[in-house]
Amino acid sequence: MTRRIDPPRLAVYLLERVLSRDSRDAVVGDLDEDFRQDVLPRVGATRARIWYWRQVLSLGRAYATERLHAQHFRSTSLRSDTMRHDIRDALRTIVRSPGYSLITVAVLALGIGATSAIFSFVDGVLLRPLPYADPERIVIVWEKPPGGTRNSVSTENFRDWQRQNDVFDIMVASAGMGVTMSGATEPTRVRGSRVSAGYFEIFGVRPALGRTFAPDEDQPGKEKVAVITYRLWQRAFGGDPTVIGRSVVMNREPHTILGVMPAGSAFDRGSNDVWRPLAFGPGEQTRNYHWLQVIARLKPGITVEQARARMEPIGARIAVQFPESNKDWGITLERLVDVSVNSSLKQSLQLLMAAVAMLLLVGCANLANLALARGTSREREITVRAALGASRWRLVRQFLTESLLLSAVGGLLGIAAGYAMMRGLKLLLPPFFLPREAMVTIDLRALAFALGVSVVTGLLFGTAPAFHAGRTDLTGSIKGSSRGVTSDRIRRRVRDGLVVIEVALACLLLVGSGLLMRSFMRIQQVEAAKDPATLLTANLFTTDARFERPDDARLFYRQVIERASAVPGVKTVALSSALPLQGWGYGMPLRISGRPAGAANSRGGAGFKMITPSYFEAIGLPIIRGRGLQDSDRAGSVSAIVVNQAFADRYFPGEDPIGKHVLIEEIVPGRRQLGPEIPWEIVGVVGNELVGGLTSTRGAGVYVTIEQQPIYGLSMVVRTSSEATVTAAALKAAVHEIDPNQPFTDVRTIAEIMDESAAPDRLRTWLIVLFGITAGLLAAIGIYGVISYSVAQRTHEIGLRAALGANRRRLMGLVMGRATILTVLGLTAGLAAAIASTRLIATLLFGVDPRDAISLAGATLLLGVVAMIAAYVPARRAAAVDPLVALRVE
Amino acid sequence: MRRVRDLPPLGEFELLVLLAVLRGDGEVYGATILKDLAQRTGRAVSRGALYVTLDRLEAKGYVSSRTGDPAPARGGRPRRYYTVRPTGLALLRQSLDALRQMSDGLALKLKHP
Repeated sequence: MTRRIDPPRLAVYLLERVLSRDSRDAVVGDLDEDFRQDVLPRVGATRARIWYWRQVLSLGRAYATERLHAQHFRSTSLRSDTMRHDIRDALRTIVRSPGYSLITVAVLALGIGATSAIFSFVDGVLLRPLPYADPERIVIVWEKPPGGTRNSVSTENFRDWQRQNDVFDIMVASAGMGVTMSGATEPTRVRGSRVSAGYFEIFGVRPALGRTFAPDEDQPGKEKVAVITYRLWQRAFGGDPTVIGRSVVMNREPHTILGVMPAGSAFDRGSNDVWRPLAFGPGEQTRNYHWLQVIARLKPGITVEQARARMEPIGARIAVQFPESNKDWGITLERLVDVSVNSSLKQSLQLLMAAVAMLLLVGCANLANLALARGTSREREITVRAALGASRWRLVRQFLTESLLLSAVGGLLGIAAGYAMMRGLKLLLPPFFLPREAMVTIDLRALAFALGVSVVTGLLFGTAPAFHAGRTDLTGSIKGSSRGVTSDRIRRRVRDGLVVIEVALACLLLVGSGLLMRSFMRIQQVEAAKDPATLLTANLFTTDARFERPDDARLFYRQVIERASAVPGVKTVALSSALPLQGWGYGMPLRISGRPAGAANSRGGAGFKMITPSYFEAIGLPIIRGRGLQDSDRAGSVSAIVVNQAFADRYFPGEDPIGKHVLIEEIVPGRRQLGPEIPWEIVGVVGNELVGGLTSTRGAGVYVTIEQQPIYGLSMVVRTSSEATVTAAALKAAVHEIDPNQPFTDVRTIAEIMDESAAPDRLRTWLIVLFGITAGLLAAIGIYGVISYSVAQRTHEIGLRAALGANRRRLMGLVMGRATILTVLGLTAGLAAAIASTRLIATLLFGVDPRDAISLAGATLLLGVVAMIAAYVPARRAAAVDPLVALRVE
Repeated sequence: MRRVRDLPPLGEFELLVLLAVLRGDGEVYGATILKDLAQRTGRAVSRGALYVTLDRLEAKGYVSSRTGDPAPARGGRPRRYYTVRPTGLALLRQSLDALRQMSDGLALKLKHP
């Protein structure tokens, strides 16, 4: 027996929904019968199903129209309010022209979706108030170093400020300090901070579970407690509420868990997972080691300026009291609101918002054009209505109702699309890229925004045809003549104007796309290190208590180098206090020996890295003068320092720095303390390493050996020859042979670090390019629409010309000429706008001039060619017009 | 009841559908009417239009329908058979009369060349 084939179940279901109960069986049964007895044996299963679907669509449309008609007649006879009447009329028109409605809704949904998605970011990052209590009263307090703007704060200065100020309700400090959690499971490294007891009070965020620190818990002896994030609570403790009060081993010491911060709060979006009290140990009570971030809450009624004015004398007093550490150091402060978003992110978001708004405008212009063209074909309908006594306002209202209805549907779909896009974009951003204060979501605000945009769009693309409808020339249309009416010329001008606007906006967007794309290509060419894919990195975190004496650390590092070098596939092993692209790690004030105080360049600061001598070779940093660092640069021998080119240029312009001395205070390992000044002798100059990210400027920096300036906690850089992942496992094993408890984390290649560093640029670039290309296509469609419409309108005229002897070329020229004028006008306006607005994009570009000729010319050429192609298709149609047919049109 | 004379005249499609129902002698339903129309007129007839028209004709009282027994050949759904009612018949007659009056004597002109 052959398999029984049934009609498509979904189609049957949908059909049953459409039909009333008493006609359901008859109609569906008939269709079933035809399907089985007639269609299926004739055309086979697949085509029979397609046939079924088409029948269902035909039925659906017929019944929907019928029902609207019926309601229409009922409502007019009852003289119900015109609003409902308008909506019903509009619905009927929409059902009657599904193609037009579908295009309109799709363009709107995409436009509104993209706009809402970008808006959700703009809103979350830039517009929304910070998610804290009285956020405008939260300030960050900095030390102001001599010749600098802001600097981290030392322990004793912070304590003096805390005691002496009278402008803050509360002032706290925090220092980033990760923890290694061990105990039940394998030791895991978790990001964290040590914070003063009142830290959470500053923000006014309460824990979801348990409590935060009591006022005295940042005193030595009481500080073995911790507050954790909701994230960590779920991940490490399975959301078990009994975790409160439980003892967990952190950095090899038991800590009691006090509380869990709420999910969805700023504390759940930052990179920190653990907070511990900041109790100052004996090695941390210093004045010259700057390591704290200080946050404070202004007393009610105190302004930032008043606070700054009240703090300055305190700074001056401390500088007089402790000249050896604080001479020329001051205090400065800024509001958290002003600094929580960095300027590059702010500009990127503004740029994206502007771009997406332009795209939406192009879409609107396109729809308005489409609606106008359609208005022509509906002229009879309008005229009849007008002749039957419909007022002009009534006609306008009907058009507006239609477009508003379409844009409402588009808006609803757009919200769904926007939500999906927002989720997608969030996934594409590197973790913790957005400030923790930014809550990006589509909520009531974003919904209100999307709905507002829908209404405005509806008005924008609905107004032109609506007002045109109100101005229809009755006699001309009723006679059926389609030419030579004044209103027709006005309409043509409006449509031409819309196309010019579309081309101009698309041109502007494409120029922006070109600039960002070229800038991004430049970024891709930046080499953070030679051959970054075979350069493996890892972090070797250690706690301060890990080594008793600096010599223990030296020994450990030597063992690591030795064991790691023996791993197969490893070419060079180096240790460094900071990895390429990850900042300098340390920045040190310095003096140049032999220069009188007050002389130019006698003192300043520089980035400071502690490395093993193999570091330069590992990352491929060239030695420009003198020598690199050597294994013989160890404790007991002359203190040797290598400076970078930027340092040489800044402190020794036109001089040979080799042999000169730089005075830098000693960093005491494992403590927050600086020792006496060490006279470092410059032995070499190296190229500038990329420190702050791929597009960072290269500042002055110096390198010394770990042997001569040991610290605890380093990163590893390994040049490998074989596959990096295989080597990584062997390296980890080698390190664990020395110390099984040594964390070996964040294993990545430099190529991966570069990739992450470029991710925001990449995302921004592709978004703008996507918007630009879409706008370009929409503009081309606009040109195609206008030109083919005009060809259709002028068929008679073209036929006449052809009959009178105009050849193909002339006819094509006639049509193309108009397209060319529109395109050139649009491109000119677009280029002018692009050149005028270069300032807005300039700061986002890297290595590309904002008036870059290639981008300007490329965008113009691309858009010009696409526009000409769009015009060529209808032009060819015009040239092919048969004079006989054309003249018979009337 | 209103006089047939006062009723609005039938539309062309309504006329065709009424004729098809009349031809069926009370034994026709949607599927057969659709087939008959398509075969005789030689044009594609929209399924949706047919049912909507049948509903309309029934609502105006020109045709009546009865529900048959559930038929296994069509998923156990009963057919709905249509019959022309007197009003429909009178209106049909009137329309055809009008057509005949108007086409009288035009046979030669209407013949295919």
